[in-house]
Amino acid sequence: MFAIALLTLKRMREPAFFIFLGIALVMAFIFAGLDPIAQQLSSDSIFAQVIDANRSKSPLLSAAFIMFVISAFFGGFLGAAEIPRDISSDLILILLSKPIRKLSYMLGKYLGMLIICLSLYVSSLVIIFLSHWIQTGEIYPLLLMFKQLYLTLAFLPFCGMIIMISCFTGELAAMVISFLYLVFSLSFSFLPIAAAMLPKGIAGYAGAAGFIIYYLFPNFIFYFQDFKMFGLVFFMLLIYSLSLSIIFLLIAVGRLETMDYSKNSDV
Amino acid sequence: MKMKTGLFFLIVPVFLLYFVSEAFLRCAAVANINPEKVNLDKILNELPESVRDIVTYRIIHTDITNALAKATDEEEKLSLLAQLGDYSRDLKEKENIFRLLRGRYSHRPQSAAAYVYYLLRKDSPDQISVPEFHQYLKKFPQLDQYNIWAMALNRLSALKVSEPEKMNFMLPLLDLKPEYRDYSIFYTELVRLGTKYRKPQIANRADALIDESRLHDSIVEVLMEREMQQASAQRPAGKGK
Repeated sequence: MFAIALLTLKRMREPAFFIFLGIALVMAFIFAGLDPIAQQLSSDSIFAQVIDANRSKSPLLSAAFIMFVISAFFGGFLGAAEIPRDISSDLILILLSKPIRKLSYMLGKYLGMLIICLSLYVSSLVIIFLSHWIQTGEIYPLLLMFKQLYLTLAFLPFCGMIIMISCFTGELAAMVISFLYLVFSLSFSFLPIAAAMLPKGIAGYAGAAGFIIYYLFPNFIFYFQDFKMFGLVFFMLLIYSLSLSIIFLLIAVGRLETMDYSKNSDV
Repeated sequence: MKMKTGLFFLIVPVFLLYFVSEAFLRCAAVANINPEKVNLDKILNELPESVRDIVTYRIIHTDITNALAKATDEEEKLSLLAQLGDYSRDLKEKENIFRLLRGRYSHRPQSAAAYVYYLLRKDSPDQISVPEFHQYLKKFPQLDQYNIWAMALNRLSALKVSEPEKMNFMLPLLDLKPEYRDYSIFYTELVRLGTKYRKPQIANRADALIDESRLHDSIVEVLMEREMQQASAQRPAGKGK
């Protein structure tokens, strides 16, 4: 598994990764001075209330939020092509001829992609904290810095999602479908929160149908909500991330187990 | 077989954990929201468009139904009933309401929604022909007729009726002596249609009626004047001085 992860991490030596990393770091520097995200939104909006409910004293920084999106985009771009490329180049046949199980192969790819996304995000955070220190002469409180790291949990299901999609499609299609899947999941993220605010029974069958569709997507809004550090919400967020990742990876394993790896296969 | 059993024992608790944690996180997110700061429009804006449309429909439908249940005045009740019939997407409910309005309240202007609904509705045994509709229109004073004409013309547009047919439908307007300025819109349309389809007698007559209708007040002005008169009549005699 770790051998496969290391193989994936070789992509970090390619120029594409350095270009993405360079862009991410420059953007992190540009956005570092922004106010916390709750102050960027109208205080009456539902999203603003979800992310800032005065439960913790450490707000989510706008720059961290933007860099999370950018890291996910770049990481997804790099990771989505991994498995389809191995299949199209027949590398997968060589790898699976070694004493490596398909599950270990897939977990290795997952781990590799997770490390790529995390390295992009964490290095962006370092730039954000450093720029704040250079510009103001003050270091962010430790808890605030730690709060920004909560978003790393969102990479767990995100990478699982990308790996799952890439097991079903070709390189380019995996990137496009991953992006569309992400857009849909964001559009449905507010459904349960908004539906809970409506008078009982008003959503009717539309609400029920909406919920069925909603459960097909991860809800990334949960990662941005305000909660006490090291409390029950954090614990649940961890369980949510892990369970969702396992579901995605199980689907991916199921696909790898039943796939035809010959060149004329459907991938 | 062992692997399948193993997967089954993994999948069930994983799904269970997923649903439990999702429900918990959802409750935590909702608990962050102050209901006093959020109005219905904001909630609807957060919903996906497909769901928003259905929820909005249900809210408006419930509002009209509740208002109907609370209404005490017969005039208000009939207006709300017509509004509900017009708004409802439930065909059975719509037909029941319109049948009731058409059967029992055909002498009231609120029944117009039902008559317009059945106008040239070929798939319904209760369809109303153009002469029948013209007969129905004659029951009402010009003040009420104006809206019914407008609704009927909208219905013809929705049916994509040809322009000559539309012109024929509007011909009874030429026999009216307009009492309100608003009617000039219909006559302007008749002038356009008469000119386009080379019916100079229709165009000339409609043109003359445009001038005549413009000599009168608009319906809004008349209604406002009536309201003011009613208000002053209700005011105690001493207050006016």
